[in-house]
Amino acid sequence: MKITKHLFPKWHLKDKYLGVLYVLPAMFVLLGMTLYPFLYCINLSLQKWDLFQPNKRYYIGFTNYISLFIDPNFWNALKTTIIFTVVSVIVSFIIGLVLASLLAGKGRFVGAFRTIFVLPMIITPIVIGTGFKYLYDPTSGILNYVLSLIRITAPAWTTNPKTALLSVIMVDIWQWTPFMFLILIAGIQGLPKAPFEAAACDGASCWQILKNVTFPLMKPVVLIALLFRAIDSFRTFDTIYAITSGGPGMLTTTLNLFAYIKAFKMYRMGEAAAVAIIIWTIVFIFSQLLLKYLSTQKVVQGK
Amino acid sequence: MSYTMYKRTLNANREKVHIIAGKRLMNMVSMIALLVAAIIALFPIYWVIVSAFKTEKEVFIMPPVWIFVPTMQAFKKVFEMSSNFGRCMTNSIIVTVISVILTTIIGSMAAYGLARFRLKGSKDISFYMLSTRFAPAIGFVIPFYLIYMRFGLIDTRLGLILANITINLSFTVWMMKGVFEEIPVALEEAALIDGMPRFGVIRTITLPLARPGIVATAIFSTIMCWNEFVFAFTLTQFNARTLPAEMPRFLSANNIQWDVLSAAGTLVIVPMLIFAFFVQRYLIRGLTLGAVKG
Repeated sequence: MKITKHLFPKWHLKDKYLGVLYVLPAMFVLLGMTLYPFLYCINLSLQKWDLFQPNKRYYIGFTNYISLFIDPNFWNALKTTIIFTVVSVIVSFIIGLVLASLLAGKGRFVGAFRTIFVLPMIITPIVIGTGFKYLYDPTSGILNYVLSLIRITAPAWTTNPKTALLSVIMVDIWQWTPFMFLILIAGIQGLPKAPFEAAACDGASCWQILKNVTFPLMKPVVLIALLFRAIDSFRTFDTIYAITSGGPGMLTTTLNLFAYIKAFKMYRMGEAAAVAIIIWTIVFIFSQLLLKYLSTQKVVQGK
Repeated sequence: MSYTMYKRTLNANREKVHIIAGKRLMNMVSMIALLVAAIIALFPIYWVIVSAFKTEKEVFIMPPVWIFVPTMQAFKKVFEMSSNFGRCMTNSIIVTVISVILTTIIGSMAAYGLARFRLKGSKDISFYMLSTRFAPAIGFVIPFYLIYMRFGLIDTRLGLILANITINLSFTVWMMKGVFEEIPVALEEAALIDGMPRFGVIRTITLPLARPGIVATAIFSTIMCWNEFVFAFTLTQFNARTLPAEMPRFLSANNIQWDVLSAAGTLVIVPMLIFAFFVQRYLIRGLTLGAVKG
């Protein structure tokens, strides 16, 4: 390295500028399209600006945030978001884990199931929403027909206050269980053999192997899967919008829909920006956790 | 062989038979569970596509019709109900293609810069880029809407392309950085020392080696752009409307025509079904930013 430096000093100088040149366009786009809107959004959240009266626009300090914090609808939306995210992530994790452990060791089937399970993740989410709206329909949907075959009187899923949230959660689970499954199967297949053989040699029991070998080895994969899912579930908008649009009442209004309604139905841009900043803050905290974790972990590789 | 010995081996064999039978049973159960999961995963997609070929009456009948004469009526009605649908298709294609090409070029360049040069604060740069992957679309859309209004970008393809580049750039950079880091530096250095200019090295050595990675990343971007809903729905009305953004139109009526809705949905998802075949191996890698290689 030293020799090349000595031989070609000019090159290194050139290369240094070249490196900056490569990164520059992307930096320019990202700063212009993320940092500027973000600062704009913070600024906006401190103003009162209704698009009904576009000329009346003035600073009101933290009033938008304060009025959010005393608005029960905001807290409801936050609660709904947390329930949606937690239930969806946990259930899809459990189903994904069960499926992955069932399929582990059946090498020749993994490929086929991988192909099938990829589909829910890449189908346009808004079409998933409209498709499930049809399945859920109380008169012409097939779900209630199937349930009636096994003598279950099913509710009108999306309009019944008791089942509305459940119905959108189930769609999220349908959409993302495959993600959990695929990550976990990659993790299981990537497990090294040696520690298990060593444990078996030492006469460890099944439970001991599970607790002291499998869990610690699987921990990175599991954490990555859970954090990714949590952040992405938190951001869900398309499917909920198609299926319930936040209704009945506000029962399926997550923070995302809440911000959307404030901005594009009520045209209260200041308040909507405040909600957006709150969403941003929550997502930021979780994504920093994930990124910190990702940067300390080596890549997990399945076969 | 004594009698007791004989008895013992017989018992042991019986036990073995039991274990094997138990294993078979477990295998059966797990195969059934997997099959059920596969059916649940596929059925909604199957049902959307099948319903698109049914008549107006058939989609409402209970018990559902399984065997029927396929008709294209619903597709015709899609274009009647939304006179704009053809334009939406063109828009979707144009916006996706241009966004993906630009994202891949800009992103790969940045990735190469970050992977090959020791830049001041390059770790911060990549960290910042990565965190935009997690930014909620709805948080962007509010400032975008107002900024676009001021610059006259509402309902333009350019506006939508800019938005799509923004959301896809972060993971393109991240994925491509991984791809370039996997290519040995020694290959490039050897060519550099032999006097080949940097661009020549990239063109003849780096890019051919990185091609599978570039293709995978680009396909992944294509899916993201094609499926993008929040920006297209809020930032366009008519001229630049894309297919996903047009979908709610078929929901607005009080009694939804399921056949038309399904036909529209089918037209939106079929291109992605074709793409699915090519990306299955890279999907998990893309979705987890390369943390898990499926």
